[in-house]
Amino acid sequence: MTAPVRPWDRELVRVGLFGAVFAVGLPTANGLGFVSDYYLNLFGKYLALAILALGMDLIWGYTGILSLGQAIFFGIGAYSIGMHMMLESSGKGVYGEPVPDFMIWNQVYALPLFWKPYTSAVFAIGSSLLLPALLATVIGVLTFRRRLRGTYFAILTQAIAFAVWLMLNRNEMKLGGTNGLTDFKSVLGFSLSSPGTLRALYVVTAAVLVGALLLAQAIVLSKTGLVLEAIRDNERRLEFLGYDTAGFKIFVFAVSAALAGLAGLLYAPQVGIITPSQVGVLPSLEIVIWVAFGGRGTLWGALVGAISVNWLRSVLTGTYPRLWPIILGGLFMAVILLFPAGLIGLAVRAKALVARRGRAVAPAAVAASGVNQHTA
Amino acid sequence: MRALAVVLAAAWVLTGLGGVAAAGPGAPDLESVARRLAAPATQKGALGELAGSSDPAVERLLRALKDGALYSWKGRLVILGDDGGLTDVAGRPVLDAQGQPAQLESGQEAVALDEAHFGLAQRILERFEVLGKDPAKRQSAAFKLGTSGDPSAIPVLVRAIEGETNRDVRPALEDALAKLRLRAPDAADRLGAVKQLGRRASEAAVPQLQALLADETDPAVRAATRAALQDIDRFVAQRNIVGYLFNGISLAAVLLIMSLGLAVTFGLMGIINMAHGEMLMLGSYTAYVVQEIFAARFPAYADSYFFVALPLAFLVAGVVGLALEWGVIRFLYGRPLETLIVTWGVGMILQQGARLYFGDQTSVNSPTWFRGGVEVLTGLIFPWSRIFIVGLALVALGALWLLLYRSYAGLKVRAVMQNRAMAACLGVSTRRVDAVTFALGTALAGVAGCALALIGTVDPEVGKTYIVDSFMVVVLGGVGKLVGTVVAAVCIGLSNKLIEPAIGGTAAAVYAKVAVLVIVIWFLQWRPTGLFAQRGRAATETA
Amino acid sequence: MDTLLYVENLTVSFEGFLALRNLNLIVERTERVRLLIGPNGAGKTTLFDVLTGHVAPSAGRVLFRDTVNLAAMSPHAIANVGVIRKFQTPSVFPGHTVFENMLLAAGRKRFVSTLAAWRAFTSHEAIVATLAQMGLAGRAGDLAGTLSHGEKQWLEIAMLLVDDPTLLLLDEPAAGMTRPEKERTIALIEGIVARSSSCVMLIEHDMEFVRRVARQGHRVTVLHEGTVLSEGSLDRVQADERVIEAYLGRGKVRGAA
Repeated sequence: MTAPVRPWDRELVRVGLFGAVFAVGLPTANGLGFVSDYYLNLFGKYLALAILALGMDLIWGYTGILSLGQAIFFGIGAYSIGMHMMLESSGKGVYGEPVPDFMIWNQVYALPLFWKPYTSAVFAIGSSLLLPALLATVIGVLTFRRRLRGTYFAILTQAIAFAVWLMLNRNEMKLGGTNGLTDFKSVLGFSLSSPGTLRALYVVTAAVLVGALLLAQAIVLSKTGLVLEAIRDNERRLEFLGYDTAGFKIFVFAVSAALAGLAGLLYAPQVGIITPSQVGVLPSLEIVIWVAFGGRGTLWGALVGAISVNWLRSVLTGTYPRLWPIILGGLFMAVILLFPAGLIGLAVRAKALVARRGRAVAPAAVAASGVNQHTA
Repeated sequence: MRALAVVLAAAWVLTGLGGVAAAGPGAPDLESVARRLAAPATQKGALGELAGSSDPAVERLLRALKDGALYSWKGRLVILGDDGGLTDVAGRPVLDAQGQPAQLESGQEAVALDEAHFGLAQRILERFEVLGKDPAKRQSAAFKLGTSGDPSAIPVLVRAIEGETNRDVRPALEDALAKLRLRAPDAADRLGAVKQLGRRASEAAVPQLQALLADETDPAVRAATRAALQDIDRFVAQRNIVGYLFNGISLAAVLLIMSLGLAVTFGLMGIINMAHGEMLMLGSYTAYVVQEIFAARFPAYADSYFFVALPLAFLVAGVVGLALEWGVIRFLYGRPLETLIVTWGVGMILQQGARLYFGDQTSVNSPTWFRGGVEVLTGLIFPWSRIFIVGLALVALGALWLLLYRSYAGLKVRAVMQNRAMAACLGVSTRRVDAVTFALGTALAGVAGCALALIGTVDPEVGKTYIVDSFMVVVLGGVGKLVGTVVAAVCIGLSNKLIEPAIGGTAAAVYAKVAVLVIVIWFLQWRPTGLFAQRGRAATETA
Repeated sequence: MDTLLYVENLTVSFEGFLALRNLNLIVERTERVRLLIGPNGAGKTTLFDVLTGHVAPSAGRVLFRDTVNLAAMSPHAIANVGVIRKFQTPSVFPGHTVFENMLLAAGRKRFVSTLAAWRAFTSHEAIVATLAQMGLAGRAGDLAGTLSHGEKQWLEIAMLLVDDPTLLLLDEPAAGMTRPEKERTIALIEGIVARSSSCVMLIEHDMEFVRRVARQGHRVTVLHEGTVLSEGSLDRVQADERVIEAYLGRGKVRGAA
């Protein structure tokens, strides 16, 4: 009997290939003029959202917890860096400190207290990662320890997302109200209108995505990953074996939240705007669809799903803006009802069919192909 | 020649006299008064003279002057009526030389009422109104006189009170009198007025009382004024609390009616239907469409549209629910999270479909018998539409309870939900029960939507606005028990409407909503299964 | 005192229905196997539920090793203390391989150690040995979902054994098994007794199975309507009038085929 090979080495190769193409290849092509700045920037946005999807896959695809609050964490990250960028590029207020324009329009002439720390870039970046993780930990401790069932957790996070969205839309919160934060001119001193800055942002995003991918793979291919999947499949048994499942759930929730915050951090400078409409229940559900569409529980599916659905959205909202919600709704339905294993699942099944043509049936491979990566 | 002039003058005088005789007594006065009103120099004096008059012709004249309907035509003063016809100051139609109805020259300007005299004219008119025929006009005139601070109106008011029999108008007159008496020279009079206003808890008199407090010298009156102000404050506070309680119950009824359907689909069946809000929306739009049809085809029965809309909303939402269950939900039993996602997609499609077809904002008119409300305390009105919703919620609750717990069909439903396999063995068609139960849930949502159309707009967003609240109600109440849903709805409704005034400000509604959400979440930490949890082995395995 | 399990006056109520009434039970440290039998609804599984922290008692004391109060602990804490349970229906992780199932069951369960174990798979040998003991060595790479019913039961037992539990609770281990599978299970239990120091508490309905296991001299407790009806060796219990009345009937005990 042989112990199954941990496919770590194989994953490393895949990640390396991905990095070569996206972190090195694409920006070089842009520098040489083969890929336009517009497309590079668009891909930068997609890759940032892919980080978001990665976190979602960890908590939903692998651990089976439907969190409808990922958009909140994303928002925290985006608003954090957004606030810093606004302060970087705004005029002076009553006390000589920078005050964003939208506040002056709302007759607020002094910088509110909670904005003040965001003048520091370090604080902004730090808070975009730590604040979501902290919030997730608090929510996790309050809910997972109480053994709240999955459905209640989904409803709860949905309610929290709704509440946050309601609050963010109010001007009194001094976060730009419905218009959000926009008109960023520079980030960390680099002008956002220069293609060099955008290229650098892209490379950073791609590099961070590679790092996040490595982190996610490390978790997923380890015993922790095994435990997370077991939580999804039979949490009670795991508890009776002696695992404190609540602790693991809090851990993966916090990691996914940090990844979401990271995604927001990278998203805002590249897209140039962050509004409450990107923080709420619908955006959270969309993230789920990206992961489901690509293939949940595979990590690569999250990437594929995030990029493809957002690309689809860019294309379709341009030509059929009024039909897009219908198409998106249809996507929600199709992904769950018709191909629950996502694109990756379809690809694996196709590969198995081809393999089957070639030789005798290998039941383990066929059974395993749609399920998890550990033995495939 | 001179004889001709005399004859002509006599004829003129005679016709004038004749004209006057034909017009009746007082007419020359009227004409000359009108002439003096028309002349800027004498306007004020003329107005002053009319102060004590009670002649309805005078009222008409003054009103015409104020409304800009008094014109000078061929040397006479005429009034332009609403129908475009001209009448003279006595009310007779004016004819031109050919005997046809006279017309004004185009561009002709009306006799002007000097801005400075506006108040004076208004005051006189109010006095007329106070003695007039229309009770509503009498009431509002009384109020205006009271706030005018013009003591010369006192005699008029006294006379009006003597003859007043209408229950609503009399107190208004008495209040107005008291307010005017606040400035009476005699301290005893003032004291009496203050006490009167305090006793009647007249909220509208507060500004006058406070002004009095500022420059009153008599200590007894001061003390009485302070006491009166306190009494009024206390009454207002109590009335406000009653108002908040009613608002809370009203909101609770809305929540209940929205959540009953969800209590069936989620509480009983365990299906998370995120399109529940859109079922509500369908009900609202049903009301709208029916109303439009009635307005176009049966305008005489416009108000009865509601009787048709309500059951129709039930049917429409029920049928859509059946389709949803058959086409989508039944493949996903036992997978609640995936049902959540799929139904959200369905909801998005329905919402966008509605937006594309109906546009973004339409509204529904309440039938006339729903307009207005019951005045429970002075200044506090419970709208009929909200009372209706409370009633409807109770009826729906009762009907659902009877159906589930006292009917054979309900027995089958409960059996299937508790032990599907066993129920199937006993011959119950679980497929049919599933479909019908789900449809019942969505149908209830449709009814709720129809009712909600009465108190709000009908727009595609209504589903998303209420879905989170509905889930909170069901989750807080405890899944599987109707009584839990009721209690939760009442709790959330009351807390929302009691917190809102405590926060105050324009955004109070939003903050209150968030605060209530936070409280519910906190409560669920402490008791995750909700207010009325089900205990027992089966529950722990499936809860 | 020196007991392994001390249950005193245990009462469990479900909305008024008394699943357990004043139940008293003592398992000595020297005992290796204790059999629990009784009619359906007697409260056997409920007792297990209490022991594993799944259900809270309404009254009474439950002590493990004289000092550990099981009633106040969470299920995973109880598992970490050494009380492990096997469920009536096989409860393995069907989406993972047999080996991965064992991996999950083996090693330290604490959060930090699991994180740290990301590349090193400890107790590899223990897993292999236990699988061999259960006769599942050849199936290590197969998905647990593809195992037969009996194999799943053994896998579950293997998962529970790999950590050397102090008290192993088996809820109807022979349920749904064929005759040869039952033989193998009996041998398994005897193997556990021989090779480890775990104590096994066993709920079973199959009287032939019970007889074969009890033959080694283990005690039998009969539960009825939430309380202990009789206790002692199988012969003694079988002869008890009350047990005959409530459960066994007057026919001779025959093997259940």
